[in-house]
Amino acid sequence: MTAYDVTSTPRWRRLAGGDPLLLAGAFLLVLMVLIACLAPVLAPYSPSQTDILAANQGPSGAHWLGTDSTGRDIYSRLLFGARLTLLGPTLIIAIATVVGVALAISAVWFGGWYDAAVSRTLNVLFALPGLLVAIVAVAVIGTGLTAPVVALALAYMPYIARVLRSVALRERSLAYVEAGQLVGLSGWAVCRRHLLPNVMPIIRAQATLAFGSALVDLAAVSYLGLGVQPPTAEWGVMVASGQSSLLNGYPWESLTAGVAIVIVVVLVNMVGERLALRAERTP
Amino acid sequence: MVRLLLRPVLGGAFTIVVASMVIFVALSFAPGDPAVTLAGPHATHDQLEALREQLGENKPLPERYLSWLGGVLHGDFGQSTQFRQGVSSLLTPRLGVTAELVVLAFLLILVFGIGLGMLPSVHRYLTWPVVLVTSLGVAVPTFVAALILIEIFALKLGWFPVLGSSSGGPLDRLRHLTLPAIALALSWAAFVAQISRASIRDEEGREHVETALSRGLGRGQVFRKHVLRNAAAPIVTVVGLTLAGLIAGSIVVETAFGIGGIGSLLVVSVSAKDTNVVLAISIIFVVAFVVATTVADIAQILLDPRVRDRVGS
Amino acid sequence: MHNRATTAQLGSRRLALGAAATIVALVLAACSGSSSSGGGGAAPTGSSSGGSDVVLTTPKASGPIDTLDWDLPYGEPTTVDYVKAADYGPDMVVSNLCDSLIRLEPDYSMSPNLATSWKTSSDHLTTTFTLRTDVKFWDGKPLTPEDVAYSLLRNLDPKNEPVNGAFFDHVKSITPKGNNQVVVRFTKPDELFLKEMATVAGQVSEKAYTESKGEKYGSAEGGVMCSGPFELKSGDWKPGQSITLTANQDYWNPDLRPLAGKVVLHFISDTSTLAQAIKSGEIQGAYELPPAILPAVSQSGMGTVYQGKSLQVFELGPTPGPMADQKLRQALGMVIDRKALAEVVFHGAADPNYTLIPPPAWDPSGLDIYQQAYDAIPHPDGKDIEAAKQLIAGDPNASKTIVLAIGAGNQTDVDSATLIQQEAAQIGLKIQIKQMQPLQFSTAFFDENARKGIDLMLTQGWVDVPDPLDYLGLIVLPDSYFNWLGLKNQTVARLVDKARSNYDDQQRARQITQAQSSYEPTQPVIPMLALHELMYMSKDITGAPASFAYIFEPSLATVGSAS
Repeated sequence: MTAYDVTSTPRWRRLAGGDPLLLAGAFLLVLMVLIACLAPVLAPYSPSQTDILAANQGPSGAHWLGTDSTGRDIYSRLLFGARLTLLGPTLIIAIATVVGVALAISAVWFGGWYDAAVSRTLNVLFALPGLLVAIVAVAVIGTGLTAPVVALALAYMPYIARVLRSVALRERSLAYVEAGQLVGLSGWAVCRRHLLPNVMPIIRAQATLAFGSALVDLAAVSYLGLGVQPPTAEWGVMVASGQSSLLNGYPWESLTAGVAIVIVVVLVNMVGERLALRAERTP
Repeated sequence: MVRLLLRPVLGGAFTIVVASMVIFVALSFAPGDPAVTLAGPHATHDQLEALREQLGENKPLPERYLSWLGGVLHGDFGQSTQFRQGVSSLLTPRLGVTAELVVLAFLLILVFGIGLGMLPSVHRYLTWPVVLVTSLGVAVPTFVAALILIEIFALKLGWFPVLGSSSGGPLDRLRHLTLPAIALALSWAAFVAQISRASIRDEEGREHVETALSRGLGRGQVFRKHVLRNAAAPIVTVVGLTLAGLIAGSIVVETAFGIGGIGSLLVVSVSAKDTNVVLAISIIFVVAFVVATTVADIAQILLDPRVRDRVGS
Repeated sequence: MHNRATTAQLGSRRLALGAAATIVALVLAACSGSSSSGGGGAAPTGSSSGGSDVVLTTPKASGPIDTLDWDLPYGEPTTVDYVKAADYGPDMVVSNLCDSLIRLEPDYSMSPNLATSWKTSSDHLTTTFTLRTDVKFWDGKPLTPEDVAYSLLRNLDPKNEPVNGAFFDHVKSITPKGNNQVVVRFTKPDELFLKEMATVAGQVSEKAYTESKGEKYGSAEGGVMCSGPFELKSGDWKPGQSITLTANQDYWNPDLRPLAGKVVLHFISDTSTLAQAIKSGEIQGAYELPPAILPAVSQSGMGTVYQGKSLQVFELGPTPGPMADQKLRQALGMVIDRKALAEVVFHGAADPNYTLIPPPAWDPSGLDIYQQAYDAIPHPDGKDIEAAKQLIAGDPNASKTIVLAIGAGNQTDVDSATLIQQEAAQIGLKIQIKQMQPLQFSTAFFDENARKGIDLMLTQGWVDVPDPLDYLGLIVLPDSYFNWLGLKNQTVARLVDKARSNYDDQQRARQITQAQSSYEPTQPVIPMLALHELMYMSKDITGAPASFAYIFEPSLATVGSAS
């Protein structure tokens, strides 16, 4: 099976390939993204609207999941919080994947000293824990989403690049690459039209699996107070800021945000594993 | 064997030099001046300058880096600006605490991670519970786990103390470190369990296993001799990576349980621009990574006869 | 990690400056020492004026205990050298280890300590301290005038990184005299000096030991050698874990011989962890309990949270930019609902405050005059939105985004900033919250460049001793350190200068309140709250001082069994 045969079937069906777990997981994730996008429509309150007289309330008709320590509606904050919570890891994985794929494929393609230099760089990055890089980056750039996203993208990149490099090495030795060159296609064209489509399933699986850990890492950075700044809603921030309320007997903010993180990561991992399984089966 | 060890050592040294250079330069660009805070609100301009001179802030960056590197080669990691103390003597007791925590968590991961991964092979009905538990376990962030563990086992049941640090004997320290180690181990154990399950499943499906079974060998014997042996290689690799990841993971756990290890010190030191301390801790992270992955590589060679032969010849 | 606002506190610390009234009032005078120069101010006894009930002390302990587990505010101290101590933790530890010349009592009065008496010459250029002769350091060596002179002079050497050097600015020489006296000579009169001898600036360590340790003195490696009620034995500061203090059974003051055999000081910097450790009984006491966990700790049934008199304030410090616009400062001051802030965010552990000088920091000898002036100042309740709106209508600065800087990781600050942001939005002011790393935040207090891009700083600060002048000197004078806006109010400058040299308590209070009526309408800072000291003790112990004066006292010596 090459990349061409499947283009006739609809894209989503080709991706899911009749795997019910994959389908269900993907469906729920799409639903989450939709909810995040439609937060302004769906949320009953503004996520930053405080109401001192209604601070720390349990769930009620007016506030479905209760209110936080400054009287903000937890349900609305959860909906709005989904945006940055999902956007952060998406950016991390997007940057890591693009840079990782480009480095891996170019290293394999050019070989020689360039390949050696890339390998060395990857080895250095490998040995530095993402959280360490993120904390240093925050010290330099300042708190907010930018520093941890850049830092974690750097930390995740070598994982994607290393897997890709070995796959690309294998693919390069295959006949079609040589054939393409013989026909007179440029290196770039061979990459784009033959190599890339063939390694795509693996990229997709790797990226999805890394998404889950990126989300957890980013939430940890926010939990440490170094990430997204209040009063912006984000799930990691909500777990951290709800801790005092939790101790004071109002568990809703930390609890709902914590559960939301776990649900998303479980779904993403499930989709990632199914994709990885499919990628393995693809010859 | 010497060649086998030489590569990671050289690679590790290279990584340490490059990583420390990058961190050194990055931190020098971070806003905030340690001299200003150390000098206090009433320092005169001259006092401030004298202090900057004393801290070496006025020298050019390359010179400062090289003098630091020179010191490290002689075993001198410099002074901590905020604790006004040698970095080595500052880190030694904390490193011990972090090491205890990491080793305990690592043991938990070995026992529960691999054990859980083998359960489905013991009985088919256990497959789904294991899948469910490990999928959930992988997804629980360390700080959420810490919150839940403290609430249940320390406050509700009172089995373990809240604080992770203790100055008592080994048994007392073990009691204090149990909850932090569980919080640290949880998601990694689940991950190792998933990998173990997957590689054992792969091996079980292989022809030679089925042949062995059809020859009438006992299930247990086949499992030990054929399945586990071959499945061990990927498990060992992942376990090696886990050990390296645990040390970084201690950053969050140490904060949540009030443990004074190198992880919690890192956060304080970065925000105080205590460069020498940050560099020393980063080096510890890198060395831990190199050692863990090298040990895993060697273990893999010893476990896998095919690789062993290749290296041996 | 919340490791969190540690150095931020250091940055916001306000030290006592300026002239002082006659001091030394003797209450609870523990020792025999003949008192010195006349006591002008009577010590306040009950709760301070203004606001809710606060206490100064807790019930006396009935007996000894073996071990006491106490948590230090804001994590592990970076030093226990009295010369470098500038934060809650270091101040508290060193004040339990080392004796100062004069003692600060829980009610903020002063009494003899190492010095039994002191005399200042009529030209105010020489002060002679007479010392006790029965004091021994922990190693058994007697305390000599040389030790005292050496210890005080350490504050003058930049190599020691002194934080209180400014209190010695007018000192010409400090010399030992005979076998029990120390003479301090000044280049010009400085009455503040005596007051500061009751804080860490007046503490004494052993000369021989201090010299032998050099730079390492006061670190975990080097330790200290003092004469106080607790001893720090070698190896008992375990970095990252705890500091163990051992009772000094031979302490010269029998009334302050520790009731606890050992005190283990913990370094919990995470708010939730502290609450959990209190709930599980692992921590028996703590000062500076974070207000966010006040309900949780109170409801735990494990012990009592005391609300003590404190000289700490919570305010907004404006920096150049849109907030240089006086109308914006006034309007913002009008819409902040201080009662709600005190009730909801601080859980009642604070009182609304409407002036630069909070009521607890008033000079006790002029209370009536201060109260009258205070009552005449507007007390906006945050409800008059229309008036505030009108004030800034058409003002071009009102449409600019205002950046409010806070220290990272402190939930109380985050919640406060969130409320202020909402309240400002009611009149159309856009506030953006910026959490800063501790070092960056504290640098911004001292360094103009670090304040770029910031319009307001959320500040928690403290005053050493109750005297409005030391606070005014830092903010309202044209060259004041924290006069970030560079306000040049000559009337205020003239009145404050006059008050400094005025020894008549009533007259001085009038001059100060007159200055207040001139600067207060311009809102050099936007005052919000006067904070209470929050101190927790478990049911089984009692005896610690409840007031904020604890940072300069041997606060843990009197803690013992409650039954």
